[in-house]
Amino acid sequence: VTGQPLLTGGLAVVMLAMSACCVARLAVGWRAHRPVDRPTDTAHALMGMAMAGMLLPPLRILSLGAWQIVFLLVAAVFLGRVAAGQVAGRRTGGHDLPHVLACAAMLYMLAALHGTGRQPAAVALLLAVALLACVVRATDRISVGPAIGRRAMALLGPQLAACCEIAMGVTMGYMLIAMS
Amino acid sequence: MTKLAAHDRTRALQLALGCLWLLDALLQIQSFMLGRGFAAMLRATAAGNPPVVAIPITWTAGIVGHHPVVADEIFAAVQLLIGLGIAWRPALRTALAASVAWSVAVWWLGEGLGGLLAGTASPVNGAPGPALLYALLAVLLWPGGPTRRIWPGRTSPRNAQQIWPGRTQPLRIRPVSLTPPNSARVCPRPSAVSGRPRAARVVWLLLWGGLAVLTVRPATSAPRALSGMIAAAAAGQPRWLAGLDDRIAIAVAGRGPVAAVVLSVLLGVIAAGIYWPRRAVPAILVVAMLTAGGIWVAQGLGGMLTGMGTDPASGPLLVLLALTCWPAQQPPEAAPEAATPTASARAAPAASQP
Repeated sequence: VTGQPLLTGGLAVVMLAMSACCVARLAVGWRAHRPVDRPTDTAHALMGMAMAGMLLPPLRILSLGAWQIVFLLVAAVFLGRVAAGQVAGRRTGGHDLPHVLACAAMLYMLAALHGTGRQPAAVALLLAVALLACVVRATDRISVGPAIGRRAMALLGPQLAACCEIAMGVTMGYMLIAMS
Repeated sequence: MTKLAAHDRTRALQLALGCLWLLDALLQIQSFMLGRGFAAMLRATAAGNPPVVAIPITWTAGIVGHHPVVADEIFAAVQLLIGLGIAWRPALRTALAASVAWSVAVWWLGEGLGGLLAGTASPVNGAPGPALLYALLAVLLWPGGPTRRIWPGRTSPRNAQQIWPGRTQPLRIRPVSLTPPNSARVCPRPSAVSGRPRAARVVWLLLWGGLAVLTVRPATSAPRALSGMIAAAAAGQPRWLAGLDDRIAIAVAGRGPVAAVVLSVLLGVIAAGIYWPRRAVPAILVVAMLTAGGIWVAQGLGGMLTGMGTDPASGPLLVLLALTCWPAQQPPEAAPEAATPTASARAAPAASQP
């Protein structure tokens, strides 16, 4: 991703921090026997690591092709959840579809970096706008979300998950527009 | 809760405005903007303006030209904060106020007042300036509703903690769109737009009427003006959009004055249509949205796909304005007492329950 070095470096650091935060949420939730949304936190952690690698190539821990396979699997998991919700009559699409969208954005960016054919710029712009819509929705949810109390609960609270979603959406939007 | 909030039209429009600010912020930090291009773009807007307008533009362009990266990143950060502030309910009013102030500053220093005083303004080149439309939308989407106090630990600690976690001081908020769970029975709180329909209609009339007048001025109605503007917007675009714009430019080439008059009549009808009978207004608003879409295509989507667009141009903002002016639903007669602000204020705390 081309851009001002300080900006891309700063965003890479934010993405690594977000990734670490999601891993901590998973660990604390497992130790405290608290329910956490494991697929969401795992997906955010993976996306954070992959985006940090795209922003700063020395941070790349997997090849682009490997990341593509990872995000195809993650997208399949969330699509499966959406389908299962539809079959069971639950309306979970509002929660899971943004993750499918984020996976699609990751696959687009990885394909663009991989140089597999010419990627249409309009698709990048549409994905960026859709992700920004998810960002404002997540920000709106923070202001009406449930209260947070102790530190462990704050780590597991929905506010932190929403903050991760916001940081990831903005960074992904930046990268998509830079690539378009 | 989120689902219910999404049903609140005013809140949905505020979130759409926030989304556009975020898009603006990200467009601001493209590679082109981080170089000398942004300063050159600013300087170009001074041309043709009277000195009192042009000198501050040139001065600002000089500062940006000396520190392009810092200036650009500050601009992007401000726009990002405005967008997130609009989406974060406790900061909504501050963010909307900042949106107005920032938009007016950008309209002057970044868009040269949309070329209105330079004689170059045309609906096809973005007049009256997207920044002015941001300011108008922020005013029209200003939240209405009564003020209520929440005292954590006394009256409603849970609700206050939900709205502002960790807050120990009395929290004075104006509920924005905390639609109660049983919204089918309770009338929605008077929204910003339905509470000020007269102002929205006046803004609509002035804006679209102004565009109609600008269309018959030489900047648009000269024989080659319209086709020239559309052809210029096609430069650097992806093939599909460039082809579309080129076709439109060829179609209006040589018929500039006629096309301008037809467009002006259409814009005039849209302007006056807001005062037509209530049933006809949605049709006029749909026509306005389609016209805005057409203008947006002629603008080359604001150059967003060329890597040099600083904003999505006036098209999406005009569509948002049309949605803002959409007639409010009449409150059902079955629950007249719920329509009062007091009843809404009573109902609002229930909405905060998880």
